[in-house]
This record gives sequence, structure tokens and C-alpha cells, in this order.
Amino acid sequence: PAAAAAPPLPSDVRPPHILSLTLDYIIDNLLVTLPDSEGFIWDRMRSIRQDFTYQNYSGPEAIECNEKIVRIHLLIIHVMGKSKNEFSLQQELEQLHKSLITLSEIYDEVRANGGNCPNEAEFRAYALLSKIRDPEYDKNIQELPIHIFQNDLVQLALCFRRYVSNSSFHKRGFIRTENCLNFYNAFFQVLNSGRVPFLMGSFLELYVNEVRFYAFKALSLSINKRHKPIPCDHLIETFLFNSKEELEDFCKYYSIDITDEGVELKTLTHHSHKLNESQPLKQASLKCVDDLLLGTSFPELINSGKPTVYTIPNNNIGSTNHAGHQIDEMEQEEDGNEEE
Amino acid sequence: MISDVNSSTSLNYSLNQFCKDIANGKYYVLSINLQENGNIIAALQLELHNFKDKSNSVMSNKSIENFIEKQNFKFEGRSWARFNIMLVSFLGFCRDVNPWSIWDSCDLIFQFYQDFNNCLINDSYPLDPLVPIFRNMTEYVLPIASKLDANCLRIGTKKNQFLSFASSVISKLFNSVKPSRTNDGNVIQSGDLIDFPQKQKILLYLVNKLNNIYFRIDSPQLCFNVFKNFKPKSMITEFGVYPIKEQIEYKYLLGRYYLLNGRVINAFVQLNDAYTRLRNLCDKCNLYGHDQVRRNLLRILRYLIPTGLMIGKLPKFEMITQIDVSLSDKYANLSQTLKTGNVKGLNIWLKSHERELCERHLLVIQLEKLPMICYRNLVRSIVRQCIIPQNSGKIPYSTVHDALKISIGDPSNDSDEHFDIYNGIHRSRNVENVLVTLINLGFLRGNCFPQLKLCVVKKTALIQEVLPSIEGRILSSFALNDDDSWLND
Amino acid sequence: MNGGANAAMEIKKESLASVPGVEQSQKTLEEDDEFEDFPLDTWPSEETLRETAGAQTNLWEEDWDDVEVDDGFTKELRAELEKSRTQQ
Repeated sequence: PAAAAAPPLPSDVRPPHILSLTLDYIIDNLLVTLPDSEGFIWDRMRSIRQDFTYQNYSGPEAIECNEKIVRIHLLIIHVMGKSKNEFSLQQELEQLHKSLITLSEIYDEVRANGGNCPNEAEFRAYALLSKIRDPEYDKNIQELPIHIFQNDLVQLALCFRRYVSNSSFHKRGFIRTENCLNFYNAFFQVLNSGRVPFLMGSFLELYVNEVRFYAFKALSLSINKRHKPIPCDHLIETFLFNSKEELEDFCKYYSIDITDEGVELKTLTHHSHKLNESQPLKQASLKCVDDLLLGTSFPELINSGKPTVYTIPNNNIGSTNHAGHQIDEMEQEEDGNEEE
Repeated sequence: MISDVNSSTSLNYSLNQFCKDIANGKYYVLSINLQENGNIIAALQLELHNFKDKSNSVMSNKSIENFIEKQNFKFEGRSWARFNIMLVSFLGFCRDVNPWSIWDSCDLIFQFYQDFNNCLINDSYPLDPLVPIFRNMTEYVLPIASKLDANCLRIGTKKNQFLSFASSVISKLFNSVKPSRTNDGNVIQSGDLIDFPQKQKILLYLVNKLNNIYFRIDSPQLCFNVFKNFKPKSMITEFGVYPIKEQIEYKYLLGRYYLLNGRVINAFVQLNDAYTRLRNLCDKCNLYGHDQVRRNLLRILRYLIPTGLMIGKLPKFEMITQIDVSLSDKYANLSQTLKTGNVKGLNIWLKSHERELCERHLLVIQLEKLPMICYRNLVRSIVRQCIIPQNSGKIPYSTVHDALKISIGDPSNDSDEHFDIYNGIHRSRNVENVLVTLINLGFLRGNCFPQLKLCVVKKTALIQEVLPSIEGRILSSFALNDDDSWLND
Repeated sequence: MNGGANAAMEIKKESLASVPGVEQSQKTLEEDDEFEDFPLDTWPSEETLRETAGAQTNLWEEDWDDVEVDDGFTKELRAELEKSRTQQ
């Protein structure tokens, strides 16, 4: 990885209200130019985030900007996933994840100082989906105040974590746990039900192919070896493939036999959704998620939160000792594009 | 030791006496516990404030340093810089401590704690006699750190500041522990603690203290390195040689740590062992009169019972009632929903205990890992009542669907009803998915036929051939952590 | 216990507690998860400790598949399964 860039001169770092305006400009004018402008937007957002970090600022503008940045990343992930453009999903996810971490730290600090961030629950829900099998997030959510735990989006995210839980999940370094549900039916039903807001749906699209894989795997192990092929229509409907072609691509990737009669599930021999010797399967794009974009504009989507008003009694936040946080940030920021 | 302290104290205690005591290895005088050592500290404070030195009468830091230097303490011919620093720190504490306010004196307390600890890092010095004193000091300092942190919440200073600091001190000591080696570089091992260095003797004590702090400051993931490095640092081959109380506490904490990571069978083995040993100790040493013991048993049970239920075991509730009636009733209700296959009942139970379960991080894990136990028992009822009598070997999806409708109690159409974790996960229409998961977990031996909408099982009168024991299946699919094998008899 | 210093610290502890707004976030002893120390006068030998007295310490039923439960739910379920069975 490239070395961290030297910190900018204080005169080059933009003040919070300018950063807000800059981001608003991107939202109002640049999002419509996606997918082509993805790289540029990624770069501008990263620099906004960094400017907040360099000046050690975690006040309302920082909260609002990071929240909007997360929403933009989620929008971009879906738009790029649907398009044919090349882009680095890994880089988008990395920045998304960093923003989520920054936000949870700020939320904790605001709460410790007696304040309250109005959109916190939404982003705690996204955090739950960001590492969807990491038990640390289940632990943390149970420690948060009841109004956050019981928030609709958080509850939805918690349900999805249960649907994708899987005692046969296979990935290097992952420790399998007992009695998991693997409720693939519910995963697709609820996604398709209209209950899941677009941004959350976009995040869940990232897991669609692995849920499909483990569902096919589990099915293949529960049917008789002489079982007839499973009809394609059934699988397309259940697993929300957009077309027969998509199902064929999926089967081809995992070396599953597919004919006009249907899919021979028992020819699936892989144990893990990750094939080390191949490029990763392109992320899925679901029509039901895409349809949620109809009737809403990108700016509406990104500005959908409640305004962050300063609610902290004593005015410590905004210039607090984020020193440790800041140094970590600077050491970790990569310069330029990385290898995938 | 206390009597020794009393005999050497009186208002006649002095700096000179202090130096004599240090030179003679009477390190117990280094206690900062005002209850235990108040006379010595008070006497020294008086003298340090009436010191005839240059301009003012309070002995300055520089003067104290010079004073200690002049004593020329030597250890096997060597001078020990950190030891001197520690002594200076102690005298600074004595000089400045405010016995009327822990808050005012807290910096002094923790500074000395750190300075004393720094003497224990380098094993080439004769630090053994200092180790028990560190241990006593730890017992004194940690409750203070807890109280200070609790009171700090409103002031807005960093959360868990004092406990975090204390943990960094103990962690440094823990990291410095190494097993002694022979000249060939082999680790010296034994089944006996007697001849070992003091740091080895308190190793498990340090482990437990550290892990307790990490749990208390809500950072249990930090326990990972402690658990990982414990055995490599230990010269003991048999875990059972450590003090029994420490063993029990270790297993309790390890079990809780596994639970936080969703590793149920490993959590069960440790928690169950902790409970068994503590119970055993109670019986053998007749400890039932002590409330602390009853409370410790209760602490273990709060985690052990749900863990056992998650691997398909049923506790003897009459035994739990002896410890705590409400815990017994609570889980008796839960086990009934599991035993009967009542998924709705399970969700009602979880919802009604949401807050207390969240407190202990027991809500989400049970939300995830109890339903399959429930479904398994439901299918068992179906097989026992319908399939075996008919000897058909075929479970129609429709039969399962009817049973699921009663078990889950979900509405027939997905209405606009409020969606949450208690009503959003289970749907009676997803019959095949439930069967597929049961089969993949090994809880049900059968084959699904999606087109025919039925599940075929063996034609047998022996239900255990269709639905084997849950615990057996889990044990065969999920390995116990090899690293823990030395913990068991 | 040394009276003076101890009493002073007790007073201060209380006064800290009564400051308005200072949260008592510490749990009661019953609620706190951390082990308490307890007096152990006689140290039992390892052999004594190792023989577990079976009945006293085994918390678990042998096999709960045999345990029968009869409640509203099981009755309702049984009725439904009867219906299914006769319909086959």
C-alpha cells in the first residue's frame, strides 16, 4: 500500500461550513452524472472526510457530512453494480466503512456528553449490515439505548443478520457457530416486500450471491442424489434472479450443471462462496431494489435524514481530544488507487 | 504482616526508619492503603512537611530523589534505578496524599501503582518479594478505579479512564511474564507451583484481573490476547494446580467470552465446568453460608442455563431454585416453549425479557440459536404423532405448514403490521427452508423433494433414528477448541 | 481498621454520591457479573476436589426427549396434527 500523504497546511484545510457546502454541491449537481463520475466523487468525498479529521472536528457538520457520505456510497454501490462500468467496490466499501466507524465514535461521544444525534439509528443499522456476520456488532447493538435498539431500521438489520446466519459458512479465518438459521427464503421475501428502504436494499445486494450460494448448497445436501433437476423458473422466482441468463451465469461461475430441464444442484461441489482461483462474482443487482429509486431523486435520497442540531449541554465536542483517532486516520489513509 | 506493621509504627516512625525497613526487605511498608498503613504514611507526611531544607519546609521532589540516591540501596551488588524511582514515588505519595479525598489523591495513587509495577518487569532483578505487595495494591486500587470511573461520567472525561489505566499497568506486567528456561532453551515445566517465581504464581490472578477489567469497560474483545498468551507464558503443565478459586473464575470468564462470539459448545464446556467445580467446592468445604458463593453460582447460572438450552439440554430446575427462584421460573418458561416447539411462545418470552437479556448480551444469541431447537422439537411431534403411526416415512409439507401456522402464529398475509425481530424472522410458508436447515444441521435425517412437496424419512418406530439427540449432533459438527484441552481434568 | 482516615474517606464517598447529577452507574452486588471473593478456610486436596459427587453437581437432565409437556399449545398442535393425519 502507498504511504500516507503528508498532512495539509492549516490554510488548505477547509472549515466545516465550507465542507458542508462542498458536499451539498456534489449532491445537487454531480450525482446525476453517475456512473461515469464515480471515481471523482469518491475522491472528493474522501477529501471532505479527511479535512474534518485533520482539524479534529466532530461537530454537527461532521456528523451530517459523514452521514450523507455513507448514503452516497450506498447509492453509488447500487448504481455501479447495475451499470457496466469498471469500478473498485473494495475502495467504495473501505471509505463507507471508515465513515461508519467515525460516526459510531462520534455518536458514543455525543451520548457520553448528554447529547443525542437524530439519525444515529439509521447508521447503526448500516453498521450492522457492514459486517453482517461479525458478532461484535450484535454485542454492541445490545448496549445501545432502547430507542435505538427498537428502531425499525435496526430491527430490520438484526433480522437480516439472522437470515444470513449460517452454520456452514466457509471462509478463511471465520469460525462457524451452532444452530444458525440460513433463512434464505425470508431474505429474498423481505427484500422483495417493499419494507426495506432503498439504501439498505443496496447494502443487502452485496450479500445476495453468497446467500444464493449457501442456499443452493444447503438444498443440494438435503435432496436425494437421484433427485430430478430443479426447474429454473422456481429458482429464478425464489432467489430473485432478474433473468434466466443471470441464473445461468451464476451456475456457470460455480460449475453447477444447468439444462433446459433445470438445475442439477448436486453438481455443486464447492464448499465456500469464495473461489480463490477466480475473480469474484460480480455483485448482484435486484430489480426490486432498483424499482425503489422510481419516484425519488438522488438529492432527496441523500438528504433524507433529520437535521443534526447541536444538543450537547457543555460545548466540549468539536475540539475534543480526538488525537488518537486522528493519528490512526492519517496513518491509514491511502493515497491513490490500490490494487484489488 | 499487619502485626509487624503495628509494631514498627507509632508516631515515631521516620524516614530513617523507613530506609532501614527497606534495606531489610520489609516491603510491606510500601502499602498506600490508608486503612492498613495509615500510621506510617501519616508519620512520613508529617516529617516530609517539616523538612529543614533550603527555603521551604516541604521536602521537594529533587530532595526526595537525592535522599533516596544517598541511601545507595544495592541488590546483589547492583543498583536498581526503577526501585529508587518507586521509592521516590512512594514518598511523594506520602507527602501529598489527602486522606480526606480520594479524588484529589487519585493521580498519586495511580502514579505509584505504575511506578511500583515498573519494578516488576525486568526479571534480572530480585523482584519476587515485591510481587505479593503488588497483588495487595491491585486489590486496593481496582475498586477505587471503578468508583472514580463511575463518578466521571458526568464530567465528560474519557470513559473508563482509570480502569483503562489500571489495565495498561497490569497488562504490562502480564506481558513481561515468561517461563524460565533451561540452558538449552527448553521451558522448565512442572506440575507444582511451589518452587516457581512469584510472577508465575500470580499469573492466573493477573489473567483474571485483566479480563475482568476488559469486561467491565465493555471491551471483552481485548481478552483475546490474554486468553491466547496465558498458556505459553505458564510454566505449569496442569491447570488444576492453580488456586481453585482462580480456575473457576477463569472458566467463567472464558465461557462468557465464547458466548460473545457465538461459540456455544465451547462456552458450555467452560461455564458448566466452572459451575461444577464451584458447586463441588461448596459441598466439600461447606460454603453455603457465604452469600458471595451463592451469588457467584448465580452469576455462572445466568449464562450457563441459556447456553445449555442452546445445545438442546434441559436443566434440573429444582437445583436452580435452590440458588434463585426467579431465574429458575424464567428459564422453566422458556424451556417449555422449546420443548413443545412453540416458536411464538419463544418470541414472546424473548420480548418480555428484552432489557435484562440485552444487559448480558443474551438476547441476540438466543434469538438466533434457539429457534432451530424449537423447530426440531416441533418436527419431532409431527413425526411421533403422524408419521410413525402411519409408517409412511413421508412428511408432507402441508402437514408441516399447518404445524408451523400454530407454532409461529403469523398472519396469513404480510400486512403492514409492525415488523421487528420477534415477528419478522419466522414465516409458516417457508416450510422447506426450515426442513433444509434442520437436515443440514443434522437434527433431522431426511431428504426433501421440492416438486413433490414432501420430506422422506426412514420408516422406523424408533424416533431417534429420524431425530437424533441434539447435543450429539452439535458435538460431532463443532469442535471444542484444542487450546483448552489443558484446562480439563 | 484505622478510624480517622477511613471515616474521612467514607464521608467523602458519600458526599461525592450526593452531588446532583453524579450518576450511580454502579450495579448492585446482585446484578454485577464480576465474581466476588469468598473465604476458603481449609484448602481441599486436589483428589478431594476431583471426585465430583455426581448427583449434587450434575445440573442437567439425562434426556429431555422423554419429558412430556401438556399445555394449551401442545393440545392445539395435537388437534391440528390429528386433522392432518386423518386427511392423509
